[in-house]
Parts: sequence; C-alpha cells; structure tokens
Amino acid sequence: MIVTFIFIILICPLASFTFFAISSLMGRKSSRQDLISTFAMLIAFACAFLLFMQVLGNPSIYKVAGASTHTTDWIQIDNVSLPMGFLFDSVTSIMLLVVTIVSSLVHIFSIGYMHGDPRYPRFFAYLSLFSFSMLFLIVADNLLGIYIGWELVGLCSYLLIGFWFEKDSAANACKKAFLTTRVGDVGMFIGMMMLFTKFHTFTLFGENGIFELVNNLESSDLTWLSIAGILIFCGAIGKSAQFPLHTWLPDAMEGPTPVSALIHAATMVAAGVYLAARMFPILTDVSSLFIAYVGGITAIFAATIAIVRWDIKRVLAYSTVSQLGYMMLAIGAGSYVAGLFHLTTHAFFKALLFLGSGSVIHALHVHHNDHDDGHHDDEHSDQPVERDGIPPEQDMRNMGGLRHKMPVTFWTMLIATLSISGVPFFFSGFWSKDEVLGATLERAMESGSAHYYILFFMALVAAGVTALYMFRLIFLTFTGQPRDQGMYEHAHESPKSMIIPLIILAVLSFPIVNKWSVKKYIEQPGQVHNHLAPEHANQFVLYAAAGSADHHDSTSHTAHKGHSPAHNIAMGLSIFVAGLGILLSALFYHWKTFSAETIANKFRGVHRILWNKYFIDEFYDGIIVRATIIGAKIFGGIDKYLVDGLVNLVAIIVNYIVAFLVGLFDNKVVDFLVNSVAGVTWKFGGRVRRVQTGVIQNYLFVILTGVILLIIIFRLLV
Amino acid sequence: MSNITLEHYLLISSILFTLGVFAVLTRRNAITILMGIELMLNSCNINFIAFSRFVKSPTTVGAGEVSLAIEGQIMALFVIVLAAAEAAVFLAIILSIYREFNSISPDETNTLKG
Amino acid sequence: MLLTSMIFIPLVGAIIVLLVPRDREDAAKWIAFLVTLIPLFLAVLLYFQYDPTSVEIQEVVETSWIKAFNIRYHTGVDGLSVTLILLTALLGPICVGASWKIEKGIKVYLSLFLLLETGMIGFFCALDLFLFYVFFELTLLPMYFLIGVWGGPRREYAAIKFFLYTLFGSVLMLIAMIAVYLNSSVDPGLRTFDIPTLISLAQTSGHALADPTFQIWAFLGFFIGFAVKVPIFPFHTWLPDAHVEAPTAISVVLAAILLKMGTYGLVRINFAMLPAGMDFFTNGLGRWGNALAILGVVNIIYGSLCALAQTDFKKLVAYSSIGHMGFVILGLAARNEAGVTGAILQMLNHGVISAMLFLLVGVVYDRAHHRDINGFGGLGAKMPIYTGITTLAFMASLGLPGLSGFVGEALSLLGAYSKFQLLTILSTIGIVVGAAYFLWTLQRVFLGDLNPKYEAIEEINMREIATLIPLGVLTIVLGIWPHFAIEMFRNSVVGLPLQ
Repeated sequence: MIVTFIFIILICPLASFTFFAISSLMGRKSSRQDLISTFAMLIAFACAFLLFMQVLGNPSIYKVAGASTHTTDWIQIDNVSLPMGFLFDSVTSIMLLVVTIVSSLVHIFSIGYMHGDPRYPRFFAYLSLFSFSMLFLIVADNLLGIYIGWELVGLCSYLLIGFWFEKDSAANACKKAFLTTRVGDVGMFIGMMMLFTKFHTFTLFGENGIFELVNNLESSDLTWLSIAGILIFCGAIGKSAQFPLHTWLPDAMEGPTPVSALIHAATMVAAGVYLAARMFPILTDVSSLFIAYVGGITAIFAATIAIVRWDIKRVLAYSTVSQLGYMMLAIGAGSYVAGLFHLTTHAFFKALLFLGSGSVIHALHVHHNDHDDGHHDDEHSDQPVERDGIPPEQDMRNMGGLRHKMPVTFWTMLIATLSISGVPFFFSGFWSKDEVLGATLERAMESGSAHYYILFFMALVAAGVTALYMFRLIFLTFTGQPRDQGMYEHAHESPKSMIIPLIILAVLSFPIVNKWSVKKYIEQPGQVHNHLAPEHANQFVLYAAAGSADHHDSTSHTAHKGHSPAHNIAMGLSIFVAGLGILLSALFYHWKTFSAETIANKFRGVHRILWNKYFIDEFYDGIIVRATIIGAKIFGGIDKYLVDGLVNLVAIIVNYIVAFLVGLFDNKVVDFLVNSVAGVTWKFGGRVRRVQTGVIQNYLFVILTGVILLIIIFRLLV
Repeated sequence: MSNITLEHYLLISSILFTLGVFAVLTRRNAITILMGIELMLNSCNINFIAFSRFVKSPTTVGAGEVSLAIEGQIMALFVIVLAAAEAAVFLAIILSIYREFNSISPDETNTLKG
Repeated sequence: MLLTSMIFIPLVGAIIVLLVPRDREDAAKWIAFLVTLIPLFLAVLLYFQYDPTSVEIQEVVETSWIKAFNIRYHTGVDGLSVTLILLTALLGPICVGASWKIEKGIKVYLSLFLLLETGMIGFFCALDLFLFYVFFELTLLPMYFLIGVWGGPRREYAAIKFFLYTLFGSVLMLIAMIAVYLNSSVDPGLRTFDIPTLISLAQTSGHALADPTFQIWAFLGFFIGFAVKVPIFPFHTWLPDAHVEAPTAISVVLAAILLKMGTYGLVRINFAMLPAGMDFFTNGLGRWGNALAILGVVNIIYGSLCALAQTDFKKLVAYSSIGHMGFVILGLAARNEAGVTGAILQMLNHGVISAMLFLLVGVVYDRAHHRDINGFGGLGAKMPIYTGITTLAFMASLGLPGLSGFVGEALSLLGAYSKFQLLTILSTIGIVVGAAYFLWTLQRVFLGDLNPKYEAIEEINMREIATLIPLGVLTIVLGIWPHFAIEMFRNSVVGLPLQ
C-alpha cells in the first residue's frame, strides 16, 4: 500500500520527464508539457497527502523510527551488498508533502511566469526531473540512495540555473553551483566510505543498519565517528549553501524565479538539513558542535550581507542561506524536531517570498521587454539602466509603491515577511524560529557550555537582522513613492495562475498547519554519543528513549515549547529583537527618520565588506580557481613538454645511436657489397634493356630464331 | 586415292604453319597477326587429325585391332576451343589498344620499350 | 563454435569487402555493416547462452596448433570476457556507422577495421598465452594503418608513436611470456602456454611458477606491456596524440576497446596468474606495497588536471580517459570484491561512455572542422538534441549517480578505501576536477552567446543519433540497474585470488 503510493509519487514526475526526453529526441516538440508535468505533480501530491493522512491515523508508522518498507538488492557481490529501499516514517511523509505541495504550486505558477519562453516545455520537463530526484532523495532508505538523489537534484539545479544559458552570468552560475556543491559532496562521499568500511552497509535503519551498528562502537572510536559525521555534513554544507560553500546560492538566482522558489529556497537546499537530521543518531558532541557553529556563523553572516543588497532576489537568497543556517544550528544544538519544523515552515514562506518576488519581476519585466526570455537589451531610450550588474526589474532602487498596483502580491508577501521575521503568535515562522532559539539556549543551559551561549547570541542577532532586511525589502518594494515612474506605470497584477499559488502558500504560512504537521509527529531519535561518552550521559535524559506510548512524553524537551524556562527566555528575546529589527527598518526605509546612505558613508569600510560579501567570492575566484587552473596548465605543460618530451628524446637518442652504429657497419661493409652488386647490375641492365623494343613481332622473331637454333643444335647433338 | 599418306598431310600443315609464322612476323595489322596465329593453330590441328588417323591407338594394341586414336581428335577439338577463346581475348585486347593508341599496328604500341 | 565464428566472420568480411568493385563503394559500407551485425548477434546469443551461475569457463574450443611448442588454439569465455565481447561487438556496427562519411579508400579502411575486430574479439577469448599474444599484436597492425593513413595532419607521427610504444610494451610482455613458458615445466615436452593450466600451476606451492621472486619479475614484464595499453602514467603520452589524429570511429575503438585490452590483461594475467607478484605490489606494505594504487591515483589526478588544461576537445576526452582508467587500476589494487567489481564495471562503463564522447566530438568536428573548445560557444541554442546527448555523456563521465559512470567509480573507491585510505581520499580530487573540466567545456561549447560563425550549424542527424542511442540507453540502464553487468562477471571476480 505505502510502497505503491511511493512508487506512484516517484514515477509520475519521472514519466513526465521521460516523455519529454523521448519526444524531443524524435524531433517532436511536446507542446503540452506544462500540463503533463503539472498533472503528474498533482497526482504525486495527492498520493503524498493520502500517505500523510495514513501516518496521522496510524501511530505505529511514526512511532517506529525508520520503517523500511521495501528493499531490493541494487548491487550484490558475495560479501558486498548494497540494497536499495524505501524508507517511510513521519519525517518522510512530511517531507514528501512539503515537496509535492511546493512543487505543484511552482508548476502552476510557472505556467503564467514562463509563458512565451522559447524553451517553455523544457522548463517543465526539468521541473519534473527535479521533483523526481528530490522525492527519491527523501524516500531512499540508505546513504547511497540519498547520495544518488542528492547528485541528481544537483544536476537539475545545474540545468535550471543555466536555463537561460545565453546569458554568461547564468552559464557561470550553473557551473559554479555544480562545482561548489561537488566539493561538499566529495566530503560526503569520503564520509560514506568511512562508514561503509566500518559497517559494510549503507542502510540507515533496521537491525543491520548503521544506526544500530553504531551502538557497538568502542568509545575510542568516538573521534573517528566525529570525523565521519563532519565529512558527511560537508555534503550538507555544499548543498544547503552553508559557510564557506555558500557562494553559489546567491549566484543561482540567475535561474528563473520559480526555480529559485522551488529548488533554491524550499526543497533542494533544505535537503542538507534533511541529511543532517537523518544522520542525527550518529552525530557526536564534536560533530554536533561543528554543525551548530557552521549553522550559527552562516545564519548571522548571510543575514548581514542581505542588508545591503539591492537585488530583490539576492536579498531572498541570502535570507535563505541564513535561515538554513538556523536549521543547521537547531540540529547541531540537538533539536532534530526544531530543525525539521523550521525546514517545513521555511519551505512555505520562503517559496511564497520567491514567488512573490517573481510576480513583481514579472510585472516590471513585461513592461520594458515583452517576453524576451531573459535577455535585457538596453538599447531603448526609456530603459532604466542596469546598475551594479542587477537587471533593472530586480533592482529595488527602481521599485516603490507597488502595493497599489499589485495588492495580492503585496499582502501575501507581507504575511510571509511577518512569518520569517518572527512576529509573534499568528505566523508559523515565529514558532519554528522560537523553537530553534529555545533549543539552543536550552542546550547552552544544560551543558553550561560557552559555545552554545555564543551560538544562541549569534542566532538572536541574526533574527533581528532578518527582520530588518526583510522589512527593508517590503518597504522598498511596496510602499513609499515609485522611484521609476516608467516601470511603475506599466506594472500590473499577475495573472491568476500566479496569484493562486501565492494565496495558498500564504495560508500555509499561518501556524496551525505547520504545528499540526511537524511538531506532533516527529520523534527525536537518540544519539550515539550518549552511549559512548559517559560524561555526557546526563544530556541523554532530554532525548529519552523512544517507545513510550505517549509521544508527548518522549519528546518532552521539545514538544512543549514555552514550558521550560529556556524557551520562555528565548521567546521573549526573540520577540524583542524582531520588534527592534522591524522598528529600525521602518525608521530607515519607511519614515526615513534616518538615512541609510549616511550610515553607509559613515561606516564605509563595513559597508564595503558587506557589499562585497566579505570578499569570499574574490578569494575563491582569485585564489582557488586560479590556482587550480594554473596547476592544470602546469601539469598540461609537464605532460606535453617533459613527459612526452622525454619520450621523444628517448626516441631521438635511440634513433641516433642505432643509426650511428648501423651506419658504420653499413658504410664500410654492407654498402660496399651492395653498391658493387648494384653497380654491375646497373651497367648490365643498361646494355640489356635495348633488347626490349616493345614491338611484339621482334620478340616473336627472336623466339622463332631461338626455336630454329634449338632444333639445329638438337639435330647436331643427336 | 589410298596413296595419300601421312607425309602429304604433314607437308600441307608445314606450309600452313610457315605462312602463319610469316604473317605474324611481318604484318602491320594486329588482326592479320591474329589470322596468322589461327593459321598456325589450324596447321597443328591438321597434324593432330592426321596422326590420329595413321597411328595405332596404344590403348587398343592389346586387342590386336586397328582403330582410331581418339586422343588426337580430342586434342584438335581442344585446340579449336582454345583458339576461339584466344580470339575473343585477343580481340578485346585489340579494342583496348585501339582506344588507347588509335592504332592497331604493333610498331606503334611499343610503350614497353626498355 | 560460437566464439570461433565470432572471431573469424569479421575476417571473412574483411576479404569480402576488399572484393567489392570500386564503383560500388556504398555496397562495401553496407556489407561491412551487416558483417559487424553478425558478431553482435552472436554476442547477444552468447549472453543468453552463457551461464553466469557457473564458475567454469564456457564455450571452450580447443585444438592443437603448433605442436612443437605445445601451443594450442584454445578459446573460451568467462563472465569478464563475455562482458567485453559484448561491448566490442556492439561497437562494431556503431563504428561502421560513424565511418559512413569517409571518402578515401573506404574499402581498405573497412576491411582493416574488420580485421581489427577479429583481433579484439579473439583477444578476449584467447586462453592460450601464445594465442593471446598473437591477437594482442594483431590489433596493432590495422590500428597503425588506420591512424597512419586516415588520420589528421600529424598522423604519421601519431601512428609510429603508437606502434613503437605498444611494441616496446609487448616485447617485455613477450619476454615475460617466454619466461613463464620455460618455467612451466622442467620437461621441455610438458611446457605449456595454456592460461588455465598456468593459473593453477602458479598457485601450486613449490612450483617454479609460484616462486614470488619469479612472479614479481614476470609481473613487471606483463605489467609494462599492459600499462602501455591502458595507459598508465608515465606510459600514456601516445594516447592523446593517437586520439587527436585518429578518425572518429577509430578513436572510439581505441578508447573503448583497446584500452580495455590492457586492463583485461592485467586482470587475466597479472591478477589471476601471478598472485604473488600482485600481492607484492598491492599489499600496502613495504616500499612497493602501494605501487599499483599510487599509479592509479596518479593517473586519476594527473589525467584530470591535464584534461582541465586542454583546449582541444579530443585531447580533453583523451586525458579524461587516462583519469578514468586510474579508477580501474585503483579498484584492482584493492583486490577485494567491491574494488574489483568496480574496476571491471568501470572498464565496461568507460567503454560505453568514452565511445559516446568520441562520437560526439566527431559530430561537431564534421560540422565545424575544428576541435578548439574556445572556438565554439552557444551551440546549445542551435543544436538542442546534440547538447542534450552531450550533457548526458558528460554527466555520465563525471560520475553522476543514476548513470553508469558512477557505479564503477563508487565501487572502486569503496573497495580501495578499505585498504588505501589516504590514497583514496586523495583520488577524490579527481572527482571534483573531473566535474570542473566537463562543466567548463560544456559552458565554453554550448552555453553563452551563440558564436555567429555557427548561425547555420546543422543539428545532429538521424544516422548520428542512431549510433549514439544504444550507448546512451546502456549508460542509463547500467546506471539504474548495474546488476545486468555485475551478474555476468560476478563469478569471475570471485574466482580471482582476492584478499
């Protein structure tokens, strides 16, 4: 039953892509690819929804962590066996639901947004392929399967970022995205190899799964396990754009906006969080702290960059990076539930923000360049100029006052913004963010470790900064006076196919839906360090072993937010910083009490660092990329001149020596003989050749003469 | 009539053969040369037939009867077939030569001259 | 019978093709095409007839050949051979299809190609060391002419380099072979070239063949012979030159099959027949214990970095081959199930993928008449299908999961990691660099603004698609369900002296 549903969920999008691939190979344009893909996704969504309902009604599924439902041997050679199977538990069911919902809505949105693009069918085919890969990643029951889905979503991300590949910036961005994530993936693969060498399996749950076998480790293996955990987490660093591999995600905004919403906000980048959550049981203290630090640093680091961006999509991109950092922080702080909770709420409101920005871009784009599939030829005189390499319709300096023109977009985006900023009580983002902060503070209080206090502080600051830059975006875009009258005049509300997804996502940004889904039904698994390191045993109380009939007991630590002092403190502080952020934002950008320019000029150094994104891109391009290419050139040169040169040199030397020796013998002995024979033959031939007259009768005459002579001689002799 | 002996036949055939040789050696036309060759072949045929008539067949010696030596006649038939085949090849060659040199005189087709 | 006809039908075909009248050269192509279909058909038949559950060598044909030295015509197949024979037979018609546009001396070209096919199939079937050597050398001659006559501007240089290099290797191999022969028995009448016999002798303790010192030296002799063919650093420099100069179809065969002859030899002779020698170079102990693994890693990293530096499309693919063969060496050096299975799978996958890559380079070369990567740009807009297939091939080659390249690489690395941790981690650099050069190439050729020179470039045509589709399908199928291949050679892997 469950397996059938999972199969349907996987096959629908795959079939849609296959249909496109085969028909385009046969030279036919599948004109209704949009409907096929959307329909396939809706079926997948229906199945995911049914599955989810089944989980709700059947505690035995979500009680058992990691119920593997279907396995088959993918690779089997005597002692080495790599089975593939589906994993179905509460986390899977929620992830399936999130992905299918967002994907379906993005499909619908794209029908309007991508309308008129010359590669319109291809876009939907790629979306289908992506959905398949992402769903496969979620249902895989072993690390290798996750890795397969992991790389496939990377491929789709590559294809979709480079969808408008005529633009050099897009071509560069897709390459960068693939390569940067690949660096992380290699780390992940090494981690996988470490685990495989130890446990001889990639399967996660079950009797012979990694999570069971990990309990047999000695405490001396703790360091080894930490390293393995961190290496696997490297994959998540790449895919979820965590510091220091975050640089690809902002560049990935070169892709069409629905792609940014689906892949680079809601699903693929969250796969890193999903991975970290899945690997939760093998995370040791050290690797947890590492994850927490990566998450914390990323959260604050990306948030600060977002403050100074002018490109509406880039702001959202950095915001995504920052929010992903939050999720990582939650997992690092030991709250699996908080991480996944934030993942779910974030998927909806961030997808909404991106689709909303897409709606804005669409409105402004159509105006100055009718369906120009992404090219921006700035030859018309009334064109707004491109500043700092930002396309004019994405530049917030050209916007303002749009709320009158696009009310639905404005209101839905405002809801998402309130949610992400952590405005209390009515918005899902508040609850999930509070969950993360509370979990961090709680970990800090319980372990008494300064690390987690620092991390809590960082997360708190990041929360304030988030509110600041998000409201900056709203104020700059929708309120005030239009700054580009020409663009404003032609702006219009988007068509229904784009509006409806916005409204649905806005509904999903209210807390009831998310609380209902995530908080109740995810159970936190135990972690390995509790078995291995006795000094941390006291913490294990928090994650009391599963199996209790009442899930509220087993997740007592996280399920009852606000019940522990840590959570109350965290909630209070989070409301405070969010309010502060919004207030600051309003002072600067709405009431214009202070001028942002003045501040920027005053702290020019800081502004410059933020504007240049801490110079990390420069560091990568200037040092790492260049060093690699120079290294490659050196190797190429070595190969061409040194190695091959040596070969040629050997050939020449051998040639020379042999020629010399042979030549000596040749000249003195062989040549003499040969030459004399040749000379004689030559001279003789010169004489004899005259006999050859070429006239056949002469030959016959000679023959006749010869015959007569022979007869005479014969007569004489006999 | 019975005094036509083997020698008569041989004489005729020698004359024919000589004529043939003469034609082959002196004519300036390849067709005539071919005719000379045919003459020589036919003179051989006459020889074969004559010998087959006048020589006892070795295969029938044991029986004490005189019979025709059939081998000579077979040989003559062979030669006729051979001559036909040879003529075909020869004419084909002559045609090619004519295309190449615009002449069938052996004097002019001396490109094999050393 | 199946094997014998498979070996010699191309030879008969080669003669028939030569007899086709000059004004009917099209017929020669069709005849050659049909002739190559026969071994393919037979190979498929063999695939179904072959019993992968048995550890026995199957389809054995054995007759006496040169009695004086006890040389026998002994052929037979195990799973590894069947896999490679299938690959060879599949590439036959594909290469003939890819040679359709050759004008110069097509008859001779095709008959040389068919002769080459005889050599290759024979090589994979031979079970007598002498026969093995004969077929090994038999591939050399047609290859020499195919590169030297139908190649690019520096064809003579490339052909001679290829010839001499390989000959240098095979001389050492010949010496090792004779040494093995002479050591196989004290009694001159009982000496043998028979590979299965030699394998069992080499494992009999106390026998002269089992002597470790002897095995190490013999190993070296064979190894260098095969290393040139694989090619393993530093014997690789013939490869880029040969590839660049060779016509498309010949590059395909060169990369897909001829390189596999090297690795096949390593498995068949060095691995199976000389276990003590193998152990000496792969046990991870002492000065030489890591030698083979190091060579593999050097191949991977060096090949990938060199590929990154290339601007010639074909040279890039050639260097990428060097990198990919490194995974084979690394997997073999691991000497465990995962590693060896990965290595063999990688042999097969590289055969399929590199064949695709060279065919694809040929497609664009036929249109643009140059191979300078920087001289293209934006072709994706004009040739969407070609771009799609190229992306598939590139992705398969850079090891994207779901496509066949990944499975082989991943298994080789998994196997190798349990033995050579550091070296394996080092080799993963090759994975990143591999992605880098393929994506960079993809960008420079297909993405970005369209180069105005290629405004009117033609899309890939049906004939070219037809040559690519079987390979593309195989890439996907083996990526999703590698069992198809693994099942074939599982018993050959288990039969090897693993650790």
